[in-house]
Amino acid sequence: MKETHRFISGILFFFAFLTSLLIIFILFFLLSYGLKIFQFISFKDFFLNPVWNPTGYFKNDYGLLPNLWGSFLVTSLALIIAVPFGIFSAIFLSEELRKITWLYNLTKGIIELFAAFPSVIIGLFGLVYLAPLIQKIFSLSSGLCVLNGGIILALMSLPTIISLCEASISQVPLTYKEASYALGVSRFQTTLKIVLPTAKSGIIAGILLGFGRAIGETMAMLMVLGNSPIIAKSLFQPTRTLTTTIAIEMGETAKNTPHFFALFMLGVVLFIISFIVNLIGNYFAQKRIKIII
Amino acid sequence: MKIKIKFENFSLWFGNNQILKNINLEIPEKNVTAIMGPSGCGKTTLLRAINRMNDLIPDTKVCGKVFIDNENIYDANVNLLTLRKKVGMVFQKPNPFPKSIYENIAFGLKVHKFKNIKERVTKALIDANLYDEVKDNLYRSALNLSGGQQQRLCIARAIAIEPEIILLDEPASALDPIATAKLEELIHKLKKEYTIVIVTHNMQQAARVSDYCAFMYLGELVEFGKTEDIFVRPKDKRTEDFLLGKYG
Amino acid sequence: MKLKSSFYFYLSAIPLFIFLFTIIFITFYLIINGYPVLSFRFLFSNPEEQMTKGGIFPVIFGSFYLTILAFIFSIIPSILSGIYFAYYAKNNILTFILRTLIKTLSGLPSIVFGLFGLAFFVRTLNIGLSFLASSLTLSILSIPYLITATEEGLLSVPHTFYEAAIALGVPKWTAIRKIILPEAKPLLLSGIFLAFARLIGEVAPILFTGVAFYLKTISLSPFDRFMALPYHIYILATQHEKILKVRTIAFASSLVLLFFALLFGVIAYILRMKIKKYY
Repeated sequence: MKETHRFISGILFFFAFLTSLLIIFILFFLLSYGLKIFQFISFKDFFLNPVWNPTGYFKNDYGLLPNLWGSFLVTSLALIIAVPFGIFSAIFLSEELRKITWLYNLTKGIIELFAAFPSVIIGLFGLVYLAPLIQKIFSLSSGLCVLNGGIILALMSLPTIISLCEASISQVPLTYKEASYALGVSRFQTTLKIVLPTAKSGIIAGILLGFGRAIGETMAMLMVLGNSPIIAKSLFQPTRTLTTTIAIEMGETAKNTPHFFALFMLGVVLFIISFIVNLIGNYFAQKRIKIII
Repeated sequence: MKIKIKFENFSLWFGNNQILKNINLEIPEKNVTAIMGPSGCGKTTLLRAINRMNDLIPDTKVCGKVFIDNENIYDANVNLLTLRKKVGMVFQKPNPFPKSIYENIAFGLKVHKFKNIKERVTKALIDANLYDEVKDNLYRSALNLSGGQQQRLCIARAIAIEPEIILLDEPASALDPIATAKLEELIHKLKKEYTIVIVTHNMQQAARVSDYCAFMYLGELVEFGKTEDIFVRPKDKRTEDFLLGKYG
Repeated sequence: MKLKSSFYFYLSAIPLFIFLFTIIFITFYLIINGYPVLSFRFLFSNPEEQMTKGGIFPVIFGSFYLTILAFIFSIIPSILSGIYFAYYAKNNILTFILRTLIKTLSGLPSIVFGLFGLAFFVRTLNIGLSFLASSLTLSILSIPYLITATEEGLLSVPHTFYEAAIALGVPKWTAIRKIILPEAKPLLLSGIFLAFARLIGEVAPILFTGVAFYLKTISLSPFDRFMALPYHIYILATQHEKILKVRTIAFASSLVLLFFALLFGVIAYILRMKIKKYY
């Protein structure tokens, strides 16, 4: 009996261990290809080079910066839009709409289902509807630009941000709020001054995990950013990101060329950013649970 | 009188929290022994030490011995499955499996490879005074039964696999007075065949059902003796206070 | 005072309404543009004339074949891992690290999985661009979702059932398999359907591992290349030479993909609603 128990727990541990190690396995393989770029160019030529031009006539450039800049620009714009939207939506959901159960459930259901919208579909919407609209409003030559990408990404990260913020706002104990009401503070003031600070960890977690989701988005960005290798200086210029560069160029490049390895190295950078952001985000998500229980 | 269960210098910790302090206790065979005490005194933990259910809680440490039929159940080579088959348990809240009434009892029988399962299920239900109430609905979900019926089903489930000891952890705390009376009647009947240990914070219940009584306070065993002695002439001040209702 | 406060609350509702309105707008935009092309023929016939006419049957088929194959690889390891974390893992630093790694895996960008699939399955294992390489890549993507779903499902079953079984002298594994798992099934299935809804719309992981834009025949062999619905939409929308002519097909295909993603999403939602209250 003891032997059977040991055998079963051994097998279960084996699988848990194996699935946990997958992420390290992934990093290992990305590195094993990505690091080979440094047989061709120096660290400086990759990390500090402001030019990405893998098919230049005289010289090939594999600079990280234009890709990284594009990613941060679009993601930051997305968060600037999505964070206030997300927090206020979460406040309204948990403080007001919760009272009307069916409407609350319906709204939550719609938001949850929107999270399951395939990204190509949202990309298609950005490409076919939003781009001409932006082009017209701002009289641009093309609506495929940073602004378009930012709006699309904001939409895509909102479900994550709303659900994490809402979960932590609704866990703030009623007694905190009552103490504030008893002092004659209005409900909305209480929400801003008492509820939000208490729910801080969950909100930070929501923002970070939303950022993590946004920076890794590939297909929608491929469709709405215009994919220019230049460093975008305004919201109305096209740009490219870490993800779009990999997605477009991996299919076209020959295997085992510097270009091929450079794309893997971009993948390594993306991995590291996302790993760190998720690690911190999950830490805050965990912290929320501990405080409340 | 034969001693069935014997605690010898038994202590237990959850993490750094000492729950049981050097317990020495001898529980006689085929009698009802009640463990009383205010909430948080460790009486449930003491009960769960008898079938080693405390092992499920992480960070549990024990020291000392507990003998059942002169065998230390905290020995390294004790088979927990055999131990728990021998020591049945009924919990505070009725917890029948979310299966049919029949399956609830048959499950343990099948796992322990009994034969004639159908007859044994019937017998267990009869012994638990439940058969007449459920005989037409054996294949209906046990969750549809009333609380009292569920608790008797849990007893039937426990006695079906032929234990020698039955542990009852405040079995009537979730029941109404009529269901409680039926349960106590059942306990009276069962003590002819089984050694019964019952945890309760209800003194009247302890007085009604038990032959022996142990009083615990803050992890210590304060007093143990025949029920009528403890209730009439408590030796310890703390027992007396408890019986007078001073601990609430 | 009170009026003022609720006024602010209604003001805070505006962002939510804008968001909900956008979601509904996108959905109707797709329906209005895609619906006219949809027909029984469109769903069940082969594409014709460089995808400008005909249907999308092989594309739908490819997506389902791919996703189902991915689940065949991932489901058993994920469920076993989930059982480990819910019932066997000790509360120590090793468990903490393993859990953290799995959580982080679920947040990794899908294009990173694509790169890994290319490096490991296509090149190192030399499987080549194929159904197999793509579905293995997707299966890794699904593992963290499935592990979380298993754990959540198992932990939603009251601990008292487990205790009751253990107190009967039932071995731990039997208690989990016979008592806990059957009760956890609705939540587990819900997690599987949700993962399915997510996986069927993924492009980045299959981009470098075997997806093709146009294939003449449907192949059942896992070593062949394949077509997939979301990739099909992407190509029609951005790369096709007669891009405006195929736009309606892109919309109709999007509608089909959305239908499947939402269908599985709704099934998952309904299963989640079915969680029993035991006491």
